[in-house]
Amino acid sequence: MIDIKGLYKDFGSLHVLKGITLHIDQGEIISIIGPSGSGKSTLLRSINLLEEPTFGEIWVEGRLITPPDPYLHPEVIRASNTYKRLSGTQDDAALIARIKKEDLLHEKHEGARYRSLLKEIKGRNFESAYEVRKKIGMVFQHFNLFPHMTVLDNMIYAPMKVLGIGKEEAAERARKLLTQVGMLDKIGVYPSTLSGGQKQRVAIARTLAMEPDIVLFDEPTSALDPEMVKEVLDVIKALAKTGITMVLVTHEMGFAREVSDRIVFLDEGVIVEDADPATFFSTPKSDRAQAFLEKVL
Amino acid sequence: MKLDFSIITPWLPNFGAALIVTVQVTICSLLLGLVLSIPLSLCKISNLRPLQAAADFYTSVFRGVPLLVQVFMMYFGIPLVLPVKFNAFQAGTLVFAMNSAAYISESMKGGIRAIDRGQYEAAMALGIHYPSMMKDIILPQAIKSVLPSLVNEFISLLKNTTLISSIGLVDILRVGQMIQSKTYRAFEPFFVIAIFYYVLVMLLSTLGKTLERKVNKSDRH
Repeated sequence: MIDIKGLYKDFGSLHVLKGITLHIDQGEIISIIGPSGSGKSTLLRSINLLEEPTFGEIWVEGRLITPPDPYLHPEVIRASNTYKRLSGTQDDAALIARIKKEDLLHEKHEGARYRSLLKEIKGRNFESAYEVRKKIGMVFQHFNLFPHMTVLDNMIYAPMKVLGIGKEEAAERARKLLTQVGMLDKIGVYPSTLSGGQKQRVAIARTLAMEPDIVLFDEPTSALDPEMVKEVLDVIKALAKTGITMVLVTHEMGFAREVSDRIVFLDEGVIVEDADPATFFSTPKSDRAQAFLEKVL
Repeated sequence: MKLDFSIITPWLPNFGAALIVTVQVTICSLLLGLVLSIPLSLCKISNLRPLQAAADFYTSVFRGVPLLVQVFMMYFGIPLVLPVKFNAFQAGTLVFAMNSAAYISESMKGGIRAIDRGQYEAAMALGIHYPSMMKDIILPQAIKSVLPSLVNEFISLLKNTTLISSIGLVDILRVGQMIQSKTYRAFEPFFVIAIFYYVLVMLLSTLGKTLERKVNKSDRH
């Protein structure tokens, strides 16, 4: 369903993601956890292209959504003069990794075969961000409801505008979803009259109104008062049972453990551990995960 | 000197007609200025350097040149070098509108910049295209936040329209000057004109406050 290959993300000189490779199956529920600044949110936001990867490719439902990354194609690197010059000094995989890491390929020093291969790869089609985002919903830490629209208008705007469905159908869909999250009685009010928990439930419903295949949750309960966390987690839990693919960045360890199929532990921009929740929480393999769990549990 | 306001009475019909001119120029300029300010502010927040620079240059010109000079330029100067011809109303309205656009786009830029990144991100995450996002999500919120400065712009626009009397359009001020030259009395006509403007400005302020309250209804708790 989602395939992340060799994903790097730099913000200027800050290297936030340093080579993430991750596969997510249809219907899987994955929690990404880790210390703050580890790159969790950046990784999540890369999946719907709110962040543009520096290197690497992301595939969703078998389609490339990022520009093709020539470094991910060993045949290109092998065709380069740089590779030929250095070959024999290291084994093949290590050499390719080194060329990529040190960004040793510079087109002007390379030959015709390399260039034509590169051109072919760079010319490959990838899906536009708009198409990608239709299929991937996102729930934000700060809800981001549109404050000048009522709950109903928040819910029907994108389905009408982006999916092109009629107003009646969109409103019907909105009512159904608001019922699901227990917010139907607030359909006519403006977001400013809602509590944080209510806003987040509406935001989840708004995301679902686009009927996405995948929903990304970016710390959905971190901005909530403690007494409102449960109502939102309950909604997410109910959603998890519907078989939709979900990727969560969360600080709610108990929740992550209960609801996830897999835990991805991120630290300093790399995936340190990727395990089922029972294994991860009871017997974390790495020192970093152990240290992290000691602090948060 | 004894004041005699009865000298104004015969001129009341002229004042009536002039008032309509003043209000027309003001409203036309404001509406046109508002419309112009939107693309201008979008240029100012754009990532494209040339667009940004062009919009900033536009603003600096209208800020840096005295309004009366702009009015004279538009009315007397431009028709001599370009194949266009304006009457006083058109020239005045155009200058005031372009002027307002310069000022409004500055506050609009601030208003757009003040909008939380999350609003853009939510719109993008829902797959909404840039034009719809700006039109339906960002600009409505930005305009709401610039409403107070919009009312101020409206007020200074109203007062600035007195400059069109200098290119011969009969606005309220012009009527005063006519009275002065006919009757050799200055206090009474200009006092009445001052009252006119004061009342108009007060009306506008009240209107502005009402409008603000109305659009802020979504923020009410």
